[in-house]
Amino acid sequence: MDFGAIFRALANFGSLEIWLYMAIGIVLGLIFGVIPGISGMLAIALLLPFIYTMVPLKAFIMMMTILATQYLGGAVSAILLNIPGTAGNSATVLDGFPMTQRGEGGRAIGAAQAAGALAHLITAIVSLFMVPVIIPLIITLRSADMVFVIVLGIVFIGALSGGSMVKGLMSGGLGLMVALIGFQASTAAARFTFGSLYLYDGIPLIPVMLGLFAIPEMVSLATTGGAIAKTQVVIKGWSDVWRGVKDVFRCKALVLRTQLIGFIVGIAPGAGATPAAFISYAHAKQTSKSPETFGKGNVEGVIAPESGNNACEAGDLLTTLALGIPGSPPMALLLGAITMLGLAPGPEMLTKHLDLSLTLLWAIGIAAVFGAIICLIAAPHLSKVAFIPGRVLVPLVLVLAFTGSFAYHKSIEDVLVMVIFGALGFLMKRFEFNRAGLLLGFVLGSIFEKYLFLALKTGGPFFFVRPISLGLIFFTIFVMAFGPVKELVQRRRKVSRA
Amino acid sequence: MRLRANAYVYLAIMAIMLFAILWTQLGMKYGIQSKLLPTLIGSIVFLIATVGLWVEVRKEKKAGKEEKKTAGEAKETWRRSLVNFSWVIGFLLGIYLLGYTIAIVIFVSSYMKWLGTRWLTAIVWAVVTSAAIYSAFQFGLQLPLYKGIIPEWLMG
Repeated sequence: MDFGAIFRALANFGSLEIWLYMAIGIVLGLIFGVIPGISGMLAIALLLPFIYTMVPLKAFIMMMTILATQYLGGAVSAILLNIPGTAGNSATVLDGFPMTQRGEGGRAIGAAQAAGALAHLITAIVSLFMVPVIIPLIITLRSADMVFVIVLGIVFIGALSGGSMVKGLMSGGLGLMVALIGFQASTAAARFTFGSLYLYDGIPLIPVMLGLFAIPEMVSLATTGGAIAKTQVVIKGWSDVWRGVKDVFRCKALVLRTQLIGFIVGIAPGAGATPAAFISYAHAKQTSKSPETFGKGNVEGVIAPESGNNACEAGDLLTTLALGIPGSPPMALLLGAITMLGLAPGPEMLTKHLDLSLTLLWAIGIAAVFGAIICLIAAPHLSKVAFIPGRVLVPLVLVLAFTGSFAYHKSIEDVLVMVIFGALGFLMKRFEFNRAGLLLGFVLGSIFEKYLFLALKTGGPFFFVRPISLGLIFFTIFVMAFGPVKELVQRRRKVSRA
Repeated sequence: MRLRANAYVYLAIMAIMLFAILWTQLGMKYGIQSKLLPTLIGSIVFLIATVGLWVEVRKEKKAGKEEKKTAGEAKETWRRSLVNFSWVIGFLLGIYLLGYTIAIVIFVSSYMKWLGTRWLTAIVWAVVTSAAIYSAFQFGLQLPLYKGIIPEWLMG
């Protein structure tokens, strides 16, 4: 176990250029986090066409800092405006806004930022020390196991990220089908190209990402219409903010417990920050000496969800890097970026690109601390960003999406593909299909096929008769069956009671 | 029996998957290695869609009056979403015909006006956005933007 690698990765932060990219990432993460209706995910999708030629380390640092700081920004609008900046901040509204109404907005902001920064820092350090322990386990995975790791990832995203499991699984399957379009590397067969030269190289990732995420979000924002936030914000003074920071250190045990909850939820693929925040909130309420004050402005009701959702990120990243299974939709996007920048998601990230992976974990912790400091200083000004009306934001983001998709290959066909996937994403959003599931299937499609053929070549048709593969198959079946079986049992109980 | 919108979505997915499977098996002379995954995944998605359709049809039978109440509201949102999406398609057509620089000015100004901004503000935003994008691409990224078929035809 090479624990020295952890500290060698820290040396990457000696470069001024890295700090510049981190600063850009922090500012973008905070702004996209503060504005309700959009999130760090959209920032990454819009940024990708312009950063795909960059050195992977710099590009990933920028993306990671965006993801690490978006919840810190989102907490500001959740507390001061009663609108969660991102879905992960939804639970923060419950006690954050009542605190603002009571004149304790500053205290809530102080508590949220300190809890968020601590959660990122501690879980990033824990993850860093887990990496050398995980590597020997990851190396034991063979092609056959990786086939079922990918299947498990798609099932997890489909089953756990909200909505219907049938739709989630179908979305993943559709993504895999879309990934099959184009030249098959091993046989040189052109599948589903219908004679189009453009399709020979397969469908490019950036237009797919922009189409699936930017267009449906903007159409939905334009449909709801009007300014996002309406109330004005007042923060009394520094002493109030400082009181919130001290609250976090006063509730040490709660902070550590909710960080653990967030971290575990983050490691489990498919769940993400929103459930982590709500589970943490429920835990805080259950264990509190005064549960009746929750929902009326209890500072613990701010600390717990902000610890939970921010602690999720490092766990998410760890699973994404180690297994190539994203823990949440934003990580599915990051996984896409990994393939686009020429790296192979999965075990290689912890073997061949260990330095990069460890640097990203450091970046989460460091960015969150700086992001929280900026939020503490600039919260009242930052919250004004949420007042940007949808009628200004929507056309501008659409222009960025259209130019971004063109910039990737300088091809107008890419723009058409983006609009087609925009329509698909729009319909998927309308009918509650899982867009992250489709993206995951699309990103993992080619490596899934590669691993499958390797496994078939080396192990024959019974390649899955290996302890790890069989374990993964049983676990996949368990994940798929758990929800329907639980529902059936509950229904039978109800019937027998009646 | 009248099917709900979800059921039609499942039917559409089933049709697409069926086409993909048949195309792989009959339409093209792929080797077994190329046929395997499209057939396998296509069949799995087809089966899942069938399950989804079956669940949906059963739901339809149980659907109560409450659903019908919210249907009008949902229809209006759906209509407004479609109108907003048609702006996106309009922008794509604008870019194809007139190129980025002109299309951005027209799209941003008219869309902002349609969303409720005053004309003057909308035009100023549109011109500034187009100029900023043009400068960023032309001078910053040194990447010429798509000019559009009409300007290219006019310039020969």
